[in-house]
Amino acid sequence: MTALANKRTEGPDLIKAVPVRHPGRWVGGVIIALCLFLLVQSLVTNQNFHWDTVGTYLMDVLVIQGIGWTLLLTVLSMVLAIVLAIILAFMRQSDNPLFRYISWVWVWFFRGTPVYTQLVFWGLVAVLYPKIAAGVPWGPELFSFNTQDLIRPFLAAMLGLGLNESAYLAEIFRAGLKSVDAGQMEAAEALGMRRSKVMWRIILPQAMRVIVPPTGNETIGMLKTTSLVLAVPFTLDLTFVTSSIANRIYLPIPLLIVAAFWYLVITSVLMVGQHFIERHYGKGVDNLVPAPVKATQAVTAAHTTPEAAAATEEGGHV
Amino acid sequence: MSTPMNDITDPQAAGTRADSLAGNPLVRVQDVHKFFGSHHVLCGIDMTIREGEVSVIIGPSGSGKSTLLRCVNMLETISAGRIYVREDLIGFKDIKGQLHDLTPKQVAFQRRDIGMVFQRFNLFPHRTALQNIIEAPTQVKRVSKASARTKAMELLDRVGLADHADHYPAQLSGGQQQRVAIARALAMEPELMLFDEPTSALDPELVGDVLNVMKDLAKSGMTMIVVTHEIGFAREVGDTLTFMDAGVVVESGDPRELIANPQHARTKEFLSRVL
Ligand SMILES: Nc1ncnc2c1ncn2[C@@H]1O[C@H](COP(=O)(O)OP(=O)(O)OP(=O)(O)O)[C@@H](O)[C@H]1O
Ligand SMILES: [Mg+2]
Repeated sequence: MTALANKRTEGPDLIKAVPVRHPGRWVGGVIIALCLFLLVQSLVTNQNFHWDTVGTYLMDVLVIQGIGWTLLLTVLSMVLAIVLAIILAFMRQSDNPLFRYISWVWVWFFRGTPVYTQLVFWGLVAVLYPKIAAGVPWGPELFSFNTQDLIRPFLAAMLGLGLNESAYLAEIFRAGLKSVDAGQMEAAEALGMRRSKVMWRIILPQAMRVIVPPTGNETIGMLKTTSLVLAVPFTLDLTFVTSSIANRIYLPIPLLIVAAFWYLVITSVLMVGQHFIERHYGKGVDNLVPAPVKATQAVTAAHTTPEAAAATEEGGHV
Repeated sequence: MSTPMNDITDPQAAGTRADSLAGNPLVRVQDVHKFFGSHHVLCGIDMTIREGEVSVIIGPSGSGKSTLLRCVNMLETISAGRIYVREDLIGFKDIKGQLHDLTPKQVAFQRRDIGMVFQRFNLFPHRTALQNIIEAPTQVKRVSKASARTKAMELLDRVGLADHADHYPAQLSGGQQQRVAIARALAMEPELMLFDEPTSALDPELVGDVLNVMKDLAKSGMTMIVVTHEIGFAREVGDTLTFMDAGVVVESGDPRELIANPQHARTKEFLSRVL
């Protein structure tokens, strides 16, 4: 007993091993650094990049507005797609055969036709149904003719992108819902919860762990798919604006760089957002923090080593 | 249950141990059949469980024990027969002799009073122990969060886990998870608890804690149907023991009597393997 107590208070000799050396990494690193240097040098010295023009247009009003429209299109069509996808995925799992069928056909159609074709189609809805498309039916007086001309292609672009995306997202959501153990549904139903409530409160939050990463992927994809809206035609997004500037000044390369720069910036912001969303839905499963320790347990732990006790007291909160 | 059992001396009276309980019949299983496709899993089960009774079911794997429990709370639909809990026909509505399926809402309503504990716990992994317990009361019974919490803390205390309220299931041992699962079922204040091999997924040293919680629950007068391989539990806590094999009740009676003196060859053989 005392021997055991001694062992605990003394503390062990911690191992200080020499780590394995990795000379290959150093060599590789040097080679890569060299390549990078050459690349940067060529970027800077090659006059054809027209860095001054890049500088001029990076913060151009038209470009900034283009970013705004691109972002708005991305966000709104993703929101539309996510709402539709949740409904479609729930419908696909429903007991109602009609719902299952509708959901299947929806995915079949929107996944089976090119998004470009769909965008052109939504742009032409006005031709097919002139009366419906003639104006926003409620309160058209609020808009001047100009804004109406702007809103119609925007709506067409948003619908086209959102509906197409909903088909892909529906499959992602369906896979997510299926990934949740069937026992979860049974346990919740056995507690008297209604199926819809179980789906919303128990199954979907767990499925989100699986759903978020590919949805992040799709969002970033959507950001770049917005460049296809010229098919509508909607002509205010980042790609269209930069390429029309390029055509005007006969310098395509600097404007491509401007566009690429801003797409990268937005993608980076989206990735940060995704990180936080993933962390939220990973609660209880991913990266579990050590269990919160109660005072009583800290006291028990205090009988091991003073250091350990101090550590638990610091880390432990009630 | 807590009633001393030494009054039963006559072996013939063994089967009437449950009848000697004061309670009225709570669950009546009448000639229940269940088919999975052409697979006849339950072949005419008759059982009566009285208020406050602890009814233990044993039997070899595949004999239909889980299926029977799942039929009682409508996780499976029976193919023939009737199950009543109190006066309510389970799973159907009888309109002039014609059975009608219940709506999902009615099914959910019937399940409120029946708690179920699963072999694999099935706690909600994205919710802490406390959140697991208050989920159903707040969402189904619309109890206020504050009073649900108070109740949940009492229940956690009862299962010996008051200081684990904020732990996620992944931070709990199997035995602790199962005790939280029991507390979660109790939070709905059921009048009947179903246990489907609650200790089978546990390491041996964790089984005792869960069985103790179940014993306390039995002492408190809860009506329980327990599928288990823990013969010791059946002997100590059970009021009746039912041996099932291949979808039929082979025999049923006082646990000690049945274990000491099984009447059927199949029961003897099974007991010799698990004891
Ligand atoms: N959903 C299902 N579909 C088809 N067959 C099923 C289904 N559920 C159970 N069965 C079959 O019904 C029979 C009885 O299963 P059940 O789970 O009730 O047995 P059990 O007595 O609980 O066995 P164990 O002790 O292994 O849990 C088995 O042969 C099983 O294969
Ligand atoms: Mg079973």
